[in-house]
Amino acid sequence: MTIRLDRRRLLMLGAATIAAAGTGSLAGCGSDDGSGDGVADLQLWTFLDPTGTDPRGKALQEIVDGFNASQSAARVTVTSINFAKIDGEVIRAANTGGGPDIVNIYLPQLAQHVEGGSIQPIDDFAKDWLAKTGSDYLFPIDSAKIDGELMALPWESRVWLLWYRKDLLDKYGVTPPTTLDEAVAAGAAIRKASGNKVTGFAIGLSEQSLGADFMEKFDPLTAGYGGTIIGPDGSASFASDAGVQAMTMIKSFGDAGAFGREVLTMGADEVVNGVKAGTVAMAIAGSFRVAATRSADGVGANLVTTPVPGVTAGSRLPTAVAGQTLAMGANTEHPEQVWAFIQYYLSVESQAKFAGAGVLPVLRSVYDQPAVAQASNAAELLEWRDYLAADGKVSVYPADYSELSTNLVKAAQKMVFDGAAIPAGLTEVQNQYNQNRK
Amino acid sequence: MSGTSTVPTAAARRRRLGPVALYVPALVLVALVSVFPIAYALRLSVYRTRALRTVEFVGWDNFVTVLGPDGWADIARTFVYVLASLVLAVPLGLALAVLLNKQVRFLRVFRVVILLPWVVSQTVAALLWKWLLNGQYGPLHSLFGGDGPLSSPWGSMASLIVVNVWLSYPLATILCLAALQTVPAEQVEASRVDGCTPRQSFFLVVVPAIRSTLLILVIMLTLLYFNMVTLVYTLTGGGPFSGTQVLSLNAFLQSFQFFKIGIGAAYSVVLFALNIVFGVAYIRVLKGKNDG
Amino acid sequence: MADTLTGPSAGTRAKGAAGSVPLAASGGPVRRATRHTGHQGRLRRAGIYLGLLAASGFAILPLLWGLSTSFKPESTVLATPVRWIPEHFTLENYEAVLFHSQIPLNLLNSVIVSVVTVVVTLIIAVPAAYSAARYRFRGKAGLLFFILMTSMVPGIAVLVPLYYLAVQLDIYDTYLVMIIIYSAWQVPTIVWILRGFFESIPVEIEEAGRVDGMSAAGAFLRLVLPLAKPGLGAAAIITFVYVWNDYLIASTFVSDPDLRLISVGLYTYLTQYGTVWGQLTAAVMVTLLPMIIAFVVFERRLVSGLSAGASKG
Repeated sequence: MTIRLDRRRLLMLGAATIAAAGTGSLAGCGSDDGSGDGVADLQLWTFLDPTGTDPRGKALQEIVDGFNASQSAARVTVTSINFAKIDGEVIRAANTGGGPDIVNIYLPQLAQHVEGGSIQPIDDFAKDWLAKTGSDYLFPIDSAKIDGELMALPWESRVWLLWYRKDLLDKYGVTPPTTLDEAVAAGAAIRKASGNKVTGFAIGLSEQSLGADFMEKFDPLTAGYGGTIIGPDGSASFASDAGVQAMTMIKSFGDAGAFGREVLTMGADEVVNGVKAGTVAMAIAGSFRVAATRSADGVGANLVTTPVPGVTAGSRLPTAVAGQTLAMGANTEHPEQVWAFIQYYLSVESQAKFAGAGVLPVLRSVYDQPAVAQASNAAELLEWRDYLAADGKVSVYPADYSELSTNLVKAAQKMVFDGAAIPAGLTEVQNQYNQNRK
Repeated sequence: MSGTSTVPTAAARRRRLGPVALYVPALVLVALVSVFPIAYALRLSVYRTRALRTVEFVGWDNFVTVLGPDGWADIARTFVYVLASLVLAVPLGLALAVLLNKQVRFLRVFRVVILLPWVVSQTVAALLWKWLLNGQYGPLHSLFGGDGPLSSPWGSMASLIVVNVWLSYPLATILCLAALQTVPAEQVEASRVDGCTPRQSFFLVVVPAIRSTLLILVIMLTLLYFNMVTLVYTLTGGGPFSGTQVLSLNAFLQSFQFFKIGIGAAYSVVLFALNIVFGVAYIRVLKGKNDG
Repeated sequence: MADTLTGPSAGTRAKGAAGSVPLAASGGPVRRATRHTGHQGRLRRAGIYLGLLAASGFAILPLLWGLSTSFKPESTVLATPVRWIPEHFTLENYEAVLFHSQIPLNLLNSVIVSVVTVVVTLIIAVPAAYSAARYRFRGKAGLLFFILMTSMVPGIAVLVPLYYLAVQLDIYDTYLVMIIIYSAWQVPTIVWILRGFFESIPVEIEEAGRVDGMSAAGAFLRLVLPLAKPGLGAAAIITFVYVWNDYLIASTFVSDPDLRLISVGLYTYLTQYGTVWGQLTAAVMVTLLPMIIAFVVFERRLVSGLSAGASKG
């Protein structure tokens, strides 16, 4: 072997690389996807997969086919991208002058797209439509506004509910809780009676999925105590009395033994897996996962959902307004056609197709359609609608929400299991967040 | 093969240039694909960024963040992860190569089965192992009981290392297996005649003979481990209690989840530097006595 | 000739090997040294089998769980108590993967891109590796380290600039862009791997060929390359598997679903509504098949090492 590196050569290499770095700059570049035959070719990027076995993907394909057949000005093609990767892909593509014409965005990620310059406001297009249809929305459309501009239209809603396995509660002689304190006690009783094999009440505290499962509990709990995660001025405000009470409540589940350290390995997926396997008795989870969970052997009607009980008997915890939206790509050359598609996508007919595939509609009038009214769980769907309409709470999801939720769940782990002081733990994350804001 | 025709002929000038000309295709390719992006990453690391745009020059600020108090803990964990994985994967890979180089029944079956983990993607490996290690509904839950190993920082790191070794030892096995084919039997037999035990002849004859393969193997594995993202992200997400938070995960989170590509680039530059330091160190340590 | 052909390492290593190699009999070179008889030999063999079985168990345990899951109806994959042998055996997951998904297309794409990348990588790396093994010149160590260094930068750091480049060169969403990047990222390590294998081939073999009137290129192609087969095989399989497993490049530089590689295709089953375990594991089992074939092909190359190659010449 004849390798020999002396200091001089390393320095030369280093100098050459740094020189190259100095000249490294990127020019912008344009896209050229105009089509000649007068038919606008529209790319739709979404997390749904029309080719698989998911009924929602099939509904999407039907809607796209319906749109393509309904007019001759535009033709939509669907590209399915994994839900966890789609935001990065879209932002990267848009920053090189390309990207989709229509993009599906999960509401909490909307601000990130605005910051990344991947979508454009649709106020001008949506004005007339909103004047006509806006009041049909179950929740305020403000959730899709960033800095006062409408950036997307929600087409799917979801609520977070108290899930419990009725069979497990019966087995361990526990009645469904009607307050949060009862939930703590019931969870602790189940876990103890099962010899710590069944998690009584699961709140996922894993860093995975950027702490989403934890945030989906911490946010409504804080709201239930009268606070917010992000204040109206955009700064973090969760180290308030309300935030401290919410965190204390989460900790009390751990202290009482309603969950153990196993929740450190749980994100939303693992919580739902646990419900399917019968190792999680109660949890707060999304309506969009109910159907798939019930299809598991031994679950079925044993999985019961109700609005999440509040602090006092008879009260209910607010549920976050979140869901999927459609937005207009920043670089589209056919905004009119894009808007036409979004409008088609939100028509009562299209919404009914999605409802038939298990999607909770955003428009009130869709709940009268046969797809909802004749569903096997129609009563439950209406209950969810009413919960959302009555207790839906619009949260602010800033562009750096992912980073905030990651830092918060790390702090939560220490506060719940490591004896870190709750006000101090929250204050530290809050200060760090507010300092980094610019 | 454009280069081979220029192997030295009688002309002295061509003889001098010939060896260098053989590198030209490789140099053109890596220059085209790698040099410019590296330069770009270096530049990004000294800028504050917003989404994917540079906003202002901030000098070392990003590195101050990366190398802050938490940063050193991340670096320490990265070292534990990389070194422990190396210490397990290289000997395991080499030992299996030796076993798979013997004449045994079902050799083909053993060779294929033992190499299989290599072709499982990091995501799938992480998902399957996470399921196996789950203390509640996992197929081995009776072994762990209760929380499962992933619920404590040390258990989580140990699991991460085991899964990492599971994924990567076949690379070591295959390289060593190929290298063992080039060791002439006569050298080994001669050493046995000279009174060496099998172990002695292995370490005194075989290992030195495959030294250059071991060198590149250790370099490859080190690069792989330092830069490992998907496995860590999917198996542990860096937790719990940040117990498996390594530099590469931070680089990924900052660049692709938080869209702070300036800080992400700074993490990457630190990783790049560590890769170079380790690479140079290996070359110095593992080069033979006779090498100039 | 000797002044250019005899690097110090090649020279010293060749001393012991040069005369003996062409005489080497069939069978792996190291194998014969471990021939034993009697009690000790039997113990040794038992140890070998025990080691291989333990390693196989470690290797295959998670995959067996995957195999078991792939035969379960989706409704029972998470059922407790846990069953390694499915209670209700079904092929519905395989049917969905093979006939109602993009997985077969993804597999085809992966095979095409992997094979072309292997060929391109070898064509580019072999000359450089041979030069590194045989010739000395000023700056060689620096040059070799520079090549290696380009593979040391974390992939996530260079993804964004590469993306800009690909879009500007109008090769985004093509096989070509993946093949170029994969080759560029693999060439450095493959050069280093092959250098070691070329060094282990005695220079005297080429010199003998030259004496017999072969050109330098002819001696390389007809004498050296056959002897380097294990190294070339290892390089090929390493590159192949690298492309097979990569997610980063495949997901970033291609958005057309028809061009997606298998690593990206598997993500279809990790949905927002949870993991579709039955189909995911079935798809994983399906993707293992081409790799098993690749291993068997590679394994044949492996045995034709120094001895076999030499006996031909």
